Amino acid sequence: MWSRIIKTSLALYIPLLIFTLVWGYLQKHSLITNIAHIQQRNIQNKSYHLEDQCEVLIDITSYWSNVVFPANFSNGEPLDSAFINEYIRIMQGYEVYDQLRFLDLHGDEILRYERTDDKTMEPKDLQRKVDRSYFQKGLSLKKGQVYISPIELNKENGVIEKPYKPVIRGVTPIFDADQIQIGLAVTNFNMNKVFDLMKARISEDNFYLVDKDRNVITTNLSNNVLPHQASMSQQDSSIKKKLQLRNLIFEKDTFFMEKGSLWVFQNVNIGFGKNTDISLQDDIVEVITENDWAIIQEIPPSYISKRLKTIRRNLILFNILTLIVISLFAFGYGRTQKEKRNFVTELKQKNKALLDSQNRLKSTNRLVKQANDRLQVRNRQLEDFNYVVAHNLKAPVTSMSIIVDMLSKAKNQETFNELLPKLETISKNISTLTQDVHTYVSILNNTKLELENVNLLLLLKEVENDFVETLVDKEAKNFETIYKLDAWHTLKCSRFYMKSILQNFLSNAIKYRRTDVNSHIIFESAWENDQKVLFIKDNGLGIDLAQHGNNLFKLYKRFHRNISGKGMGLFIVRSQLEAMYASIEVESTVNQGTTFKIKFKTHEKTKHSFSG
Amino acid sequence: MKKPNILLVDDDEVYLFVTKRILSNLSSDILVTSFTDGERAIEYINLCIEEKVELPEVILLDINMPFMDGWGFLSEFKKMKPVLPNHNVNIFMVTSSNDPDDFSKAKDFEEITGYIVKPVFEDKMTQILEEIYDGNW
Repeated sequence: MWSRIIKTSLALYIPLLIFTLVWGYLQKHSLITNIAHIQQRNIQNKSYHLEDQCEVLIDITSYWSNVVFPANFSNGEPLDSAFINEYIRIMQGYEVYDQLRFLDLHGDEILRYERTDDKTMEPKDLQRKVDRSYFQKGLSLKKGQVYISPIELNKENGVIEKPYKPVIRGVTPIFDADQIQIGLAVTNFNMNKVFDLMKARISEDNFYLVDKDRNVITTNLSNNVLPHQASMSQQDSSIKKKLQLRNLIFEKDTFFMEKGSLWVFQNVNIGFGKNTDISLQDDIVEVITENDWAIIQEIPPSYISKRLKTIRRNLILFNILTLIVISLFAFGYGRTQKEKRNFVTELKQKNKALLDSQNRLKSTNRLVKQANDRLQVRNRQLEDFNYVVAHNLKAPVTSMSIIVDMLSKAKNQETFNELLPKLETISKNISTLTQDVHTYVSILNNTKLELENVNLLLLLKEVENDFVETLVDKEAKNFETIYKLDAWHTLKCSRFYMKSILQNFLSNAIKYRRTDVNSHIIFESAWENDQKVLFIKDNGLGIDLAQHGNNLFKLYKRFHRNISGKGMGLFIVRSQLEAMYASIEVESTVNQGTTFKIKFKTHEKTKHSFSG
Repeated sequence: MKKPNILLVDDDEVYLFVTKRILSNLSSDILVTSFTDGERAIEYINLCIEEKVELPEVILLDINMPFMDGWGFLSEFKKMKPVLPNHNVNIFMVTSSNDPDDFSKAKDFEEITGYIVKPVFEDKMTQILEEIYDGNW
């Protein structure tokens, strides 16, 4: 029953499970897309912020390319102090603005202003920058061009300044009144403030600003800035390693799931296109840069799973409810099916039991019938016996009582002489009778017959030989014994009885033959309804069955006056046959012959009735 | 005065001897005929019919006999009844059998006057003769 319930449940549940899984997947996908879009907007804002700073840097730097410097601009020939002081005073308020320097064409600083605190910029000692890459790049610039350096850690006097200060530089060539280049103007922006703004989280997202080599410029996971330029901590290495994403082969704006996190990648467009519009000058500012930044934001698995919790909870809840409903349904269905099956099984069992008892009844009936048949035979035998006692045994006794009575009243010797021989006759009769009755009763009482397989042909030959010796030659010539034992010739029976029976038949056939014809007796075996049957046919005198049929097998009955006989043969034959559970029938026509038909019970059935 | 005529049908020789003796003791005027089986008795009756001789008034008939028993005799006798010379034939079943079956079977034959169980002593025989001949024997 359980396997059926489970099968039914699964059949109903699995499609629903698939449906809910698909639904769950779509929900998750849409949620992740949603989160990614939010992140993309956030990145866009951060990107704008960075671009804005770059544009401000470009503007501020390019300003100097149109200023007319003194032809021999140097320590000895400085700028108009009122002009530069006013400029510095304005720029002091702009916190990002870190340094302003002018370099000659040899890489030596001519003028250097440096931020000392939030509000102040002061002139500082001049340094030589001839070996710095921004100086080299700056020398190749034409008028109006601005070079934007990569974001680097600030170096002073060739040494990285501590605490680390990420800076971005704008460089532009400067000219004298004759448009002769006299050096470079370099503007430094401190990126710390910019980065702080960019690192701000909107959720649990991790922010990474990377350069084109996928080096981390800044991230909100570490306090280090540009670690690859200073020293990589273990954390920095693991972050770098983490950013080697398979899905980022083509550096296009995208988002994807990898390592359990949602990654949103977006290139930072420094926006040179807009540059021209924003430019305050009529002259076109041309920006030279190698910068190619990108922002990566990572939504960690914990946050995603937090956001997915509701969907997952709904999914599980729905599935549990569905499963319960289906299980209940399946259970109910299973129960009904089981009851139905039980009912059918019960019905079958009952049917079978009924059939069994019917069969038992049949076999019992058969046994009862057999017993009944046996009883009827027994009853008839008892009646026969009773008859013999009532008639044959009582008769001499009554005669005797009369003679005895007469003898007691006898007055003379003559009477005695007359009566005594009669008593002798009676006594002889009684003696014969008791012998015959004994023979009969011993057949009736013999319930333990020795049954054996008897070859009928051999037995008949044996019987026949016994008779041939008693027959006169002439008689023997006129009498023929014929065997037709093709159907069967062996029989399980009592050899002794069978011999006696065959002797009687042969003896009768010879005794009651017709002398005017060639006489014969035929022993013929046959099958009838799976029963062995033996026919004994003669062409003798025959018996008038209408007259004698009832008495044919009775004791001391005789039917042929001129032929000697005791009237015992057929009586004994039937008794012996009945002892072997066989039955006998007779057909006869006077002066034509007699046919006896013996039906033998099969051995198994005989056994049955013995035990029954 | 006609002599009583009695027919005995019984296969028991001793019975026949004894009964004849009893009858002769009772009266010397009784005519007794006897046969040892029914077939012979029927042959005798047939002969009587042919010869138009009166049948015996009393037939003492045994049941158990060879060739033709008492019942066989009765059914044959029944067939002859219409042609009998005289109808005052009294048949007594005289048998050693006290089997109730025999007794009830005997009742079915209206030809039977009485059913006597052997032994038949002198007094019983006297009784039978008294009944039939009403003292005139």
